[in-house]
Amino acid sequence: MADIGYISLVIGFVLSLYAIVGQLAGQKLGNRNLIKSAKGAVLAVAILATVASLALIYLLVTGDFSVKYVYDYTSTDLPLFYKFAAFWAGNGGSLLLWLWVLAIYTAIVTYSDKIDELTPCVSSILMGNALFFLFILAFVTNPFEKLGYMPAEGQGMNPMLQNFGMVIHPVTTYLGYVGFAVPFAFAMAALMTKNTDDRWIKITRKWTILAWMFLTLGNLYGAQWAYVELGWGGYWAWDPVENASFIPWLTGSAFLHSVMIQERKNMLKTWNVSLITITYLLTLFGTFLVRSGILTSVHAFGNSNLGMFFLVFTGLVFVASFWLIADRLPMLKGSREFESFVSKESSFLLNNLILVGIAFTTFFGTIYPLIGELFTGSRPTVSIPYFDKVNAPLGLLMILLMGICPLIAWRKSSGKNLRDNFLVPLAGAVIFAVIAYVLGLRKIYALAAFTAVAFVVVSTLSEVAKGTLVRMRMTGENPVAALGRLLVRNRRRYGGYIIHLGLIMLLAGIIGSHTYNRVEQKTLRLGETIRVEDYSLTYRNLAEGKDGKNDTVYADVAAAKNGQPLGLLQPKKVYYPTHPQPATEVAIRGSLSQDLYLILAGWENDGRATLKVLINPLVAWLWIGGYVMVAGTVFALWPGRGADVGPKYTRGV
Amino acid sequence: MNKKVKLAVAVVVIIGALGLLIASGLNNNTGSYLTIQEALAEQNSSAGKYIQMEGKLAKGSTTWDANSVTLGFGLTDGKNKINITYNGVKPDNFDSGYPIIVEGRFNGASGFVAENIKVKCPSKYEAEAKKQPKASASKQQ
Repeated sequence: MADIGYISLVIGFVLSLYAIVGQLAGQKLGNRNLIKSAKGAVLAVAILATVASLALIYLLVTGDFSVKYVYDYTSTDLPLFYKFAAFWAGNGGSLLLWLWVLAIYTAIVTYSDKIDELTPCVSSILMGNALFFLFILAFVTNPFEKLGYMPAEGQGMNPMLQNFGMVIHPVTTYLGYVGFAVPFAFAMAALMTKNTDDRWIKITRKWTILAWMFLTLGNLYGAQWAYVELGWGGYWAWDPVENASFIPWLTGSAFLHSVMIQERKNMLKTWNVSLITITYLLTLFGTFLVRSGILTSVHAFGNSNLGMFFLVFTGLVFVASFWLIADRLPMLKGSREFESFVSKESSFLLNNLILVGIAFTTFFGTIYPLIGELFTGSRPTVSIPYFDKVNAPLGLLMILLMGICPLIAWRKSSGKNLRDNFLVPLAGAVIFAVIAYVLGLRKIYALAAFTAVAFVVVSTLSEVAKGTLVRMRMTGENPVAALGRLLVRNRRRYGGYIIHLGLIMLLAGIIGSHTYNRVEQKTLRLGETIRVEDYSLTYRNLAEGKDGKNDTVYADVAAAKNGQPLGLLQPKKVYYPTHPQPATEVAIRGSLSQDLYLILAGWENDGRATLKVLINPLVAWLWIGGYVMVAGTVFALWPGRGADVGPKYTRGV
Repeated sequence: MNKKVKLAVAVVVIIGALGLLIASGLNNNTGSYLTIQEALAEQNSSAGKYIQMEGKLAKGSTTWDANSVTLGFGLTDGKNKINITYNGVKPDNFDSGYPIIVEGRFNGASGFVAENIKVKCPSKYEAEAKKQPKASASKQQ
């Protein structure tokens, strides 16, 4: 089975070369048969990638430890669920997953009949990327490498990976990462074939939004996984690995907004092409950072030479794509200019600058150690407060903009228009601020940030309400029908608003958990109580237990909030047979307002236990907001009437 | 002023503001990544400076005061050793022999006081070598 997998990769490598050369040559010579045969090769590569992936899954699930990859990441006692997920636990397998997704995406694009003369070019560009991954898999980090003998037992999976997050986070992140390859390929193909209209944007809109949605989910599940599994109490630490998937998310978000300007006003063509190119390059560069071990990260990625290959490939793609953009620059001149500063398009432009600004500051902070080393010889480090300090004001601006943007018109807003639209949201925000202050929200940054949040909520909801009222007046429908039809008939717009509201919930969670979090750690005797804010926690008992096949040591901690009992919390340490050290399993008692997060840090021979208690406000809203964002995306993408773009705005209309 | 000039001015202002923001952010939040040997050499000159180091736990060096929740240990590169004090609890895998990242400052009499201890997430992508059979010619450490 390992041989079948490996041979599939090698044949895939050869066929992907043929697919590229065949399609490009066929296009040039106008030879349809050649194109057709090369398209067949694309399909074959997708099938071969599937065969290789299934072979690896088969080896993992059946526990063939003679294959090094299976030996490294699984053991006989591992639940089936995780044996399967071990597919992407290591370098080779995770790159195979990448290839698999890419090959299938490429086959879908190649055989989609909507697209015509762009297809061979797009398909070749995507195959070029697949070629790189096939090369890596076949010659650098072969997941089918054999040990040469059959060990009785594998090394097992790292306990930290044994979490539901392991199953969902890598897959969603890759679906997102790889998804951006499609709009990138279309952008490049459009330039190569000298099509500079916005057709490539229209064709790839769904791809881009889906990729963005998956990357959103990937980041979210990564954060959630860290929060529930790693046991340090947070969900984000600005680790290079986290930044590597956050930065393309930012540029991808900017791209989603700026293409609307091109669709509506035929502007920003160069910017859009550059933005999607940068986004795709960042996914590759992020992979380089993550796999090379060049930066100090808590995630040890092994100092393999894999990073070098990614760096070289990223460099090649960078030079080739920007050379192409530079060469086609004269064709990309937009046909229109900004008409006014106070217009929707300039607020979109500002939104882009902020998103790209956050991406840049994060990128800069991430690679600063490398830059510093290059110039001074010694390596500086950048600590978490840098990222918080720099991105907080930018984030605040972005929140405000989310509230302002729906209130101003395309092209130019009049003074009256502005007064009418801003009155309600501003009043709402002021009222919120006063009430919040009176209720005890006194930290100035938190107050400012939550007021901005309230402004966006009121602004967005008042837009929806206004639309509903207009519809009721025009059609005589009842409020519910009017609201429903309004949303469904303009799914793209209101889907966007739903996403904004989701993001606002998520941001509220971030603001809350960063401004009003509390940490206490204390060693308690049996029966002793610790008080943290409104909570009192009484340490009742320390005992041994079983968690499936694993031994555990847990503490019984009786929790109460304002005297009301919350029940027993059992933070524990889990001992995995295949792992020398116990893993922390936190106890979380969550509510919409705050999470009580309890860690059993250790215990003494005399029965005392050390507990770490964290109060994390509003964390639940991160996850809720994330799901609302996904719901908004699906709503906007749902095919059918109402999913179309608004009219093109031309001068003199 | 025509709109193009206005737009250019706006963009320049924004980029300038971004630059200032980054500069002020970096101002107090950067430190040095030092090897343990370098850190020892600069122990006196770098008092109060934020330092990040990576090393391994020196065998048998761990002390733990449960009452004050204080962890003490030696961080070593094999030859040199720095004694670390940390007001906090052991992170997972602390005694596993995985590389440990320590962030903090030299603080006169108390030696090196850590603000943050992280254990490198083991075998996320690559397995640890010491448990690997001889037959696998792994290059990982």
